[in-house]
Amino acid sequence: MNARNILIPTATALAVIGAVGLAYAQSTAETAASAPMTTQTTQTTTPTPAATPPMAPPVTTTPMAQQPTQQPTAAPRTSVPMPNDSAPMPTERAAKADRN
Amino acid sequence: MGASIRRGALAGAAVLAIVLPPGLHAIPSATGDWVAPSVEARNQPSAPHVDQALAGWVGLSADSRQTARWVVDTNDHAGMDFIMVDKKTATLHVFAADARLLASTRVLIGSARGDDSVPGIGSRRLADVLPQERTTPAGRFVAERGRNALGEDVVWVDYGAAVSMHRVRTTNRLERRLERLATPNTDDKRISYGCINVPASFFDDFVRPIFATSRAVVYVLPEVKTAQEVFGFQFLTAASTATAPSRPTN
Repeated sequence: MNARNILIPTATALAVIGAVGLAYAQSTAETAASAPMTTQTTQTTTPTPAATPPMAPPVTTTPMAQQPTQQPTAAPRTSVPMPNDSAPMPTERAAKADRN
Repeated sequence: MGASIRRGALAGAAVLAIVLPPGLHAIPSATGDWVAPSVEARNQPSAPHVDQALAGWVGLSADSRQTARWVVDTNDHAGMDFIMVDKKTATLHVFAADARLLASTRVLIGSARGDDSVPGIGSRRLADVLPQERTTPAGRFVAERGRNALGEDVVWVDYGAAVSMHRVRTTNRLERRLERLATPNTDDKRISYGCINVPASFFDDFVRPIFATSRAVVYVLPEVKTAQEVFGFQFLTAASTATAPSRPTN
């Protein structure tokens, strides 16, 4: 009777965990499979710049006098822009000279 | 038997509540149903979020603050991160979609004061651009990533006028662009032919990611005209009643 009291709850708990775990694994797999191709395409088609321009000194090291704009490093960058109807993944325009 | 099963189910649920990732946690909807947070919900600024974000808008000029408030109140940025360039202070601000100010930096801009580009300047050689024509145009620009003629990855702010945002260029040592970026003097920032020069690390950390997968809006504040004149908004008094006005389509 004591063994039964232990075995039944344990089996039930494992069954619940297993069922939810399986459902979570399936949903994760489906999400990965349906991820937009654009991201992958972007990563593979982005060429490396021919020449890397010299780096400027980090702006954080120089406080601004007139406008003390800051680098709010405390604010984590959690927002990732998502493609939507109003801003579809752009087709890159032809390279041209800019105004330096 | 039934009690044992219930006990087991509770124990399993307790384990799952601890083990499952926080992202799976649902939030209650207004109707009492339980729904997962959506991208739309995350990108849609609500009043409490905006008010919280406003507290973090430190160091913004009155023009920047007013325009940014209009942007988020009218959702002019289409729920995406956006960038604001304040020419008067030669600063660039990066905002998250939910109106949080993510970062700010000094930038170099066009050497000539003015809010418009002369017609045809985008197809002219750099050497043919007169000093008084080296303006950084003001306006609302749907910017996108791209490349310039040298193959450098840039963000095209106004492709037609050849105005881009890019890492600061030091090819001409006489211009002392890095030194100019480091000084607090806004007059030092007027050196380019119209492009917006951003510190390289800032460009890579904050600007580039915004344009990795989509276009985004860049607001270049005017220095001769008023922000209201350029963006077509009135002074905001009630966010809830504000409507998106007509605006220049760049």
